[in-house]
Amino acid sequence: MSTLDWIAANLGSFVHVMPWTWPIAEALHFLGLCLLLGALIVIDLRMMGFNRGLAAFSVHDLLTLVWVGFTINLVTGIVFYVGDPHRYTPNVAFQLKMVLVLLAGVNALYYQRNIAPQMATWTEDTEVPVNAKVVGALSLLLWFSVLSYGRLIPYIGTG
Amino acid sequence: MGVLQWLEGSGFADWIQTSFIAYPLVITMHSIGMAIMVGLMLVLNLRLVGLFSRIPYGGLSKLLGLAWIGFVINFLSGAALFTAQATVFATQASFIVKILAVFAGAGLAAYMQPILDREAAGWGTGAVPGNIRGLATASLVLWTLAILAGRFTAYL
Repeated sequence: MSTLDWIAANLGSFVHVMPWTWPIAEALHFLGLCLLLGALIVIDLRMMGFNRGLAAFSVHDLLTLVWVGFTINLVTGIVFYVGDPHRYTPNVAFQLKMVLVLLAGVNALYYQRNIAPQMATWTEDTEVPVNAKVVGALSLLLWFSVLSYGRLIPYIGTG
Repeated sequence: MGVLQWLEGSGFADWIQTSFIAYPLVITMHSIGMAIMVGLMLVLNLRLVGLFSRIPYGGLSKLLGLAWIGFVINFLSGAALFTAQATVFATQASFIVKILAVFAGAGLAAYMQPILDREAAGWGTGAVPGNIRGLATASLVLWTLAILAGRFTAYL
């Protein structure tokens, strides 16, 4: 546990210097998750073949918003972790959340390599391939699970 | 305050407060509903103020329709959370700001829904009418405020 002690003592102390850092970071974390999930709902539903009125090539642009939300939450998430490493490290909900973020990342890589190039050519009438439907559904399932486990950190597996 | 105390003293409020599963479950539902409602409102209104210009306006009204699912989830889960601490929330400034922002934002969305249904497909890909831009900006401000004030209810 000496690494965690070091993090708490050397990095965590910065988080606790200003009394409002934690609530402000939490509020930003919520805003970030809304940007990330809001944009993903639109992209993934179109990838699955819903809301075809939104041109498939155009919803790809919303990935910018996904990255903005993800960056906000990565930064604020690191603030939480270094601020209280002894609480998060053994927490089961936190551990599951991190595994799910990694799986969502693998799913996103698959999208980038195998779905995005063809999706750019889809018209309103294009039959959506099965792998696109699966990747879109997995993305929503994984990210909503990330959200749920994050919210459950205070309640389950607090070690 | 009679009603608030009655709510807080009800068996339902007691279950929300003390059950091992109820409070975590309801608060998780509340965050899921938030992601759907606020997430889609942010995307939709950022489009209306001019971002992501390749996205056609015609597809937006369906997104607003979907956002209402999130709103219903949060109206129900929020009502459950409110009963558990009715007397605390009803007098708390950050909660009052949040709830006013939520209902103003929802009212604005309800006002914009038929406009989007009828007219959005005809807006092409350029800028939307100035009044729609104004409404979209107000919506972005209200939902951001709702999130910030909502989170601060845990601290103030």
